[in-house]
Amino acid sequence: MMSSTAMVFVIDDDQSMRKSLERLLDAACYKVELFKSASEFLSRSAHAGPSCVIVDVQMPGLNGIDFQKGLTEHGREEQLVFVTGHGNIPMCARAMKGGAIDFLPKPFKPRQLLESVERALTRSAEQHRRASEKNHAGGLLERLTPREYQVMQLVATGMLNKQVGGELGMAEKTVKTHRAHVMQKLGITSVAELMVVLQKAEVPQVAKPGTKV
Amino acid sequence: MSWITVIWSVGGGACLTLAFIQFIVWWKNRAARANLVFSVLAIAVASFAALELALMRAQTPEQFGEVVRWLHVPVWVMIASLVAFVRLYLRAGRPWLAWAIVGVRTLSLILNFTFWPNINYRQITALRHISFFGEPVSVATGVPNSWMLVAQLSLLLLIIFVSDAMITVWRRGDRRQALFVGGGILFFVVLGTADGVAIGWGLVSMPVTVSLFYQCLVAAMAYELSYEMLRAAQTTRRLQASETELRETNQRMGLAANAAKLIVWSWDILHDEVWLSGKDRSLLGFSQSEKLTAERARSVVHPEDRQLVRQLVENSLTTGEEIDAEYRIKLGDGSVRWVTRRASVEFGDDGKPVCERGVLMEITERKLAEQALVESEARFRNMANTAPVMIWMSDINKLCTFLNKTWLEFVGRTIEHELGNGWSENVHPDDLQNCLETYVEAFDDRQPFVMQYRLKRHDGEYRWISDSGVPRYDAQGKFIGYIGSCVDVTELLRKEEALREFEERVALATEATQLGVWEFDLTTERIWVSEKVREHFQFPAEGEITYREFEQRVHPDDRRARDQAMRRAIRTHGAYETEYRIVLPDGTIRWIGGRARCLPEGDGKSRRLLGVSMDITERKQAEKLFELATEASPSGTVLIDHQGRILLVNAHAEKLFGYARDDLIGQVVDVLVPPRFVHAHSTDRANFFAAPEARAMGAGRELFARRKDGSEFPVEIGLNPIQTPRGLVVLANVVDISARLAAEEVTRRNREQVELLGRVSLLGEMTASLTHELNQPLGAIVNNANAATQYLEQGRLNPEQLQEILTDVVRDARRAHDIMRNVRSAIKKGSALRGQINLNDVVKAVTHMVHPDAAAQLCKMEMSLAPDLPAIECDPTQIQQVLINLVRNAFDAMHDTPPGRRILEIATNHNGEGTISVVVRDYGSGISETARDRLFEQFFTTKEEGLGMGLAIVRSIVEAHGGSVAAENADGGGACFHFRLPIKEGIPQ
Repeated sequence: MMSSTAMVFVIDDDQSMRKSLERLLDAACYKVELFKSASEFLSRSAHAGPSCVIVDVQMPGLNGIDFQKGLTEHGREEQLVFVTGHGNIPMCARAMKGGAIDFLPKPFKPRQLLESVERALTRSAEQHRRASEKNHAGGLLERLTPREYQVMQLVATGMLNKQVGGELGMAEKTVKTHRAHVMQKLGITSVAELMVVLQKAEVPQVAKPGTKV
Repeated sequence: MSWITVIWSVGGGACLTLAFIQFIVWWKNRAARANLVFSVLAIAVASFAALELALMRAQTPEQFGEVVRWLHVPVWVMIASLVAFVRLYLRAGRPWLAWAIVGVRTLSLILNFTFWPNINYRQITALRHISFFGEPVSVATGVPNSWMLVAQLSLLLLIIFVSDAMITVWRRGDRRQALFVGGGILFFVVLGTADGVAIGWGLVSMPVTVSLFYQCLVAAMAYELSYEMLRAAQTTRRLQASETELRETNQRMGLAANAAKLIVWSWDILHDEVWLSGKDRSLLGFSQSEKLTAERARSVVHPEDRQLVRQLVENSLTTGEEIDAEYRIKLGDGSVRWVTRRASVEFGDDGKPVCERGVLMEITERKLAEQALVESEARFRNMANTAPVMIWMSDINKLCTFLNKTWLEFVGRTIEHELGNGWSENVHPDDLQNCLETYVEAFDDRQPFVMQYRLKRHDGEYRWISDSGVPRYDAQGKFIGYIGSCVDVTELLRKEEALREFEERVALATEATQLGVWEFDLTTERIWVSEKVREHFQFPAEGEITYREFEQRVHPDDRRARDQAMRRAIRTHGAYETEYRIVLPDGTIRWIGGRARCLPEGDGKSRRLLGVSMDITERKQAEKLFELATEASPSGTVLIDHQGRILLVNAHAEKLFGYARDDLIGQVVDVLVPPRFVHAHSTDRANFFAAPEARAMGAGRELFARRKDGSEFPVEIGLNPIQTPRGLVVLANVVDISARLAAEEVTRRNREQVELLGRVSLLGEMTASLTHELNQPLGAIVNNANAATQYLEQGRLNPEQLQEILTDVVRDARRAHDIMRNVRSAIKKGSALRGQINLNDVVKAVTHMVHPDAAAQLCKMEMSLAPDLPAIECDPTQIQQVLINLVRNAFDAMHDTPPGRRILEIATNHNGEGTISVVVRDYGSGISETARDRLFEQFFTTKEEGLGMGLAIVRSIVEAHGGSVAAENADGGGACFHFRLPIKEGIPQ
């Protein structure tokens, strides 16, 4: 079970369903917020911590599927758990492909729901972590000057300083200097560590020049 | 011998003689007053002379004084007569002076006799004798009397008087008289006076010899008077000669005058004697000898003209001017003649009229002619003024000289305005030019003319006038102008115009109606026909038509009837109508309808027929057609009059009702109506005739008809009013609807079956909704129960919470139950529960019901509901069914549409025609060509698993509600299904 920063959001147009879900989740010691419609939820700003959204697929106004698409488009990271009074396979498939945690037809076993919620929160937390690491790494990289960046990119491919110099039209000495700066700014000591940083920042690898693809 | 005595005596004697002579003269001619006065004077002078002699022989002073005293008497007479003489003879001398003299002398005379001895002497002292002409004469010496002056004053006045008279006569031009007579008198008076004064005042000593002077004066005056007498005698002689001459002249004139038919006259004014020739005397009825005074002469003048004549004469006598006058005189034979007078007056030296001479000219003929002319003119004028036409006359200069009263009253102007060219001001400006031209042209040619122009009447209206003029000539045949008359022809022209219009209209009417007109003369057996008749009958365009030719054309079968009708009409002097066929030369047969009437003559018999004919072939054919149509009609036709009697039935009607035609015609229509409806039927009939219009009978009711055998059958009757010449009749179309009713029953049952099927199938297709609906409450129950368990395990469950949970659970359970119940009721056939339903609510309910399905299909539903939608009478469940079917079809249609575009629009609308429309529009695949026509068929489906009942049920339900349903492809893709429901059945909005 996660810490108090985790939130569970319930979106359902049916009142008794909402109420019963709240009870259920509360009994499981989750923090819950209820919404009557998807647009109501969207008007609330994104939650800082890990979050899970339980959403009914068939709702008047914005339905679940469109809601899912909308979230993705706006880059929101909430994890969705779909519930439905009447589901069919195509609907389920679409939901899952869209990145939902689970798709549960009503009436569902409460245990199933809770498991999905847990999974969703975990994933959400994971996402948050990754996001913050990315931010951090990205911030580090921004400290580099353009020349330093170029050098760093080529070094990351495993090229020797001399090769880097030749590629960039720099003296080896200059390369070395840049390299040292990069190491210092990023707080690393090795190329391996550099790789890690780049990975975290999710910077795409540059192909080594001359390599035959 | 005493010379003094002799001289004085002779002198005295001479005076006396002269006095005597002159006295005789006066006696003969009393007018000669001067002569009388002279004789008085002469006597006075003789007396004076005698007394003077006595004076000279006086012996004593007393004698002397006495004589002197008595001397004054003849002196007085002398002076007075001298004054009178001057006045009478000379006709001069101021009268007042004359009277003064006489007065003073009279005074002195009186004084003379009051004094002693006399006025001359106070006292005579002595008498002397002196020698005068060798004789002793007495001369007195004494004291002169101052009063002598009075006497001498008179003498002085006398001198002045005579001088003044002399001057007057001189001035008058009678120089001889002035000088000789006046001068003479003056001379002697002065001398005498001087002598007397001298002696009186004792200036000289001599005897009184005054009388001598006066004797000389007398002598001179006597001479003068004699001279006058001589002259008078001469004048008389001359006068007589003249008179004779005059008489002769007059006679000659008389002859001439008679020859010239003139009456000549002369009037001696002094003697008031009128001279007329002998002939004229007898002409005028005077005798030859009687003395004619002016008065007598004037007695011939007509009494009425006498005043005139008198004035004439007076005028000419005073002014000497002659005025021409015409008056009547009566002749001796009693006839009256008109004369004109011309005379001239001769005045004497004294300015008095002496004689008038004149001529009377007979002008009777002229006068009569004039009178006749005046009378005739008056008659003419009278006639002209009372004539009803306007009469005018013009002179040779074309100027109007006469207009009668009728003209003046017409134009309302005075004659002054109209004469000359003034009349043309009344002519209408547009016509004036023409009018004047016509007039002038004719005038110059001395031709009569007729012209028409508009003339302004007194009330301002212009009237058409026909003006005709002819030249006129005097008795000698000389052209003297034109005379003409004008007549107001406005009415005539209007009538002509009206007649022309009328004829045109008749021609037009007959042309339009294709009527032919004909007239048949019975006596000549000839027929006059109009063009139209020739056309109809194909007679030649020109040429006479005989009755025989006409009859030839008539169809042999119809000849008799037509002929009979005509002859009957002729006999009864009436009219007739026929319809008959004619056979044209080219063989075609036409129907002719005609009407004719006898034209009675003055004697009451009819000799002419006047008729109109019309080609009625079309009508006849139409009638035939109608009969055929009626007979051939697949429905029964019954023709009924307003009393409900059957006029006509067709074959089908016979069959329907089981009667023969003849049995029905004439019967009242009630025989065809079931008894229980007869009363209502009569009412209906009355209502219909009151407000006839083509409509179905007994709307809303079920109608039944009765056959001859008494059995009844359901019918539908259509009514058509037809106006015939004989009144309103009704054409009733009767249709036996038993078969139809049976068919309808079958249909109804079918539909009900179909609906049931539909409901059942619908149910099957509502699974998704149903499931969803049920799963909500069920899911909620499960969650609540689990939560409660969890709370319990954790020890956190308090009673309130538990209460809440359980309440919710129960509610959800009930919800589930309700859903199931609805489903059950949806399946049931049930009686159509209709109520006032707002379709918007139905749409909303349906939308709610299907939203799980919509979600499952990722379809978005949009509603656009008309606000203030009126409620309609319908079965809400059935309408729901309709909507659900349409909605589900729409979802299926959008199966392949990209999710973002899966939109379903439901709209409601209140239409103006009293209906509500509901539209279901999708963005799916649309309706294919092949499907379109079969869309609402039973068992037609495009779905793999479809029953094909959905739309058929939709149609069935909608039509059962009195509405309609349709579908088409919508712009922008997809299909559009819409149905329409009437708001209220049969109630107008």
